[in-house]
Amino acid sequence: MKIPNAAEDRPDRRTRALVGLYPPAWRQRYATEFAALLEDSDGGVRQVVDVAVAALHAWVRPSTHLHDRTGRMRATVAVTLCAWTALAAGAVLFAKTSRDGAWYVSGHTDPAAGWYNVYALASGTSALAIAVGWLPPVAAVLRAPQCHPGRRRALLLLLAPPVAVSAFLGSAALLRLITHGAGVGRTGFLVLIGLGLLTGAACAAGPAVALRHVAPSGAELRVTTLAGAVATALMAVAVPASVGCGLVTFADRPGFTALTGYGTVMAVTLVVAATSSARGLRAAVAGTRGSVDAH
Amino acid sequence: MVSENDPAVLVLASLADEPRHGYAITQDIADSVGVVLRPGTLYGVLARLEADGLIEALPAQGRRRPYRITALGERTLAEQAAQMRRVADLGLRRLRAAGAMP
Repeated sequence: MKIPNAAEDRPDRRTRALVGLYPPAWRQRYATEFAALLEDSDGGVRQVVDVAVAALHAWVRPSTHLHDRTGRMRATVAVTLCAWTALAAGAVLFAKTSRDGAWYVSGHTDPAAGWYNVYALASGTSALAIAVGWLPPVAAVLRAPQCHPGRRRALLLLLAPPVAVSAFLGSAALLRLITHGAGVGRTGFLVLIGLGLLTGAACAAGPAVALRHVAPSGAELRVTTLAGAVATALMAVAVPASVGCGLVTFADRPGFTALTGYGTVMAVTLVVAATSSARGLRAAVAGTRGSVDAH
Repeated sequence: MVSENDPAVLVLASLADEPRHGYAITQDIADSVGVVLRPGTLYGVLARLEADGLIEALPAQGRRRPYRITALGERTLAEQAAQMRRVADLGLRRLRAAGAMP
């Protein structure tokens, strides 16, 4: 048993890591006293497991008296963007590997044209919804006073998506130039996938972290939350359509394993995005009814 | 029906006589009932009881914050304890009638 030491105000690294497993609203309310209890109690694996399970529960079913609606919406916007980026990366990969990235295919030549065109239309509209939804946060960063401490960092973080996409497209063009348009080969394709994943990570993480520096709120945050939900709903149309397209395409050809893997990853990501969107929408709707955050 | 090992009941029972902070609650429950409530479980219960208005937080003492049972918490604990007593009485009475207990 560790003897409590009043002089130790700052929790040790292990305690900070355990407290860090909890949601922000929970930490804001209980972190100090919980850290003190962790330091007073016996450690060990059982304690870590107990805290991890309790923290997971706090994320899944947050206490009603800790419901921070603005914080919930910000978390939803960040999580939805990350999940949506993963869905979009999967959608681009699917389009590229199945129809060479076409926006539209003709029913005369392609038996899965209907599925593919629904998928392409839903994906494209989803991207538009995300882009429109992120206009208010971008405007909030641009409107923030020059002296705002997080403005410069937020601006740099918001530049991450265009810079990353430009770098990816530049790399792809360079690779195409090197191979004289004769196909990039297996290694080149894997390199492009790796770069694509890095690009996706930068596109998701940059704006999501920017929200921490210049935090939008009120109507603009509700618009972004709603747009994220619309984009998720459209991806919920696009993903089954792409799987349907794959089923028709691979009906008499190998490729079923890849399709199953693709469908599973996309379905799990979709569930994450949908859950986060539902919780964000609930917070947004509660906000419009004039409720106030309770702390 | 709640169990006598339900962490919420244990915490309410621990706070029934005086306010206690987290560590004191775990020690009290371990000494009185022999049940070890680990920190994650305890604070999950404290957050739930606080949200339900069954306990309330008092001003922090250093890094520790004591909790006090509310009037609603006292009524809830009394109802649950009475229900547990009825179940215990019934079980003991029938065991004695069956000759399984002296």
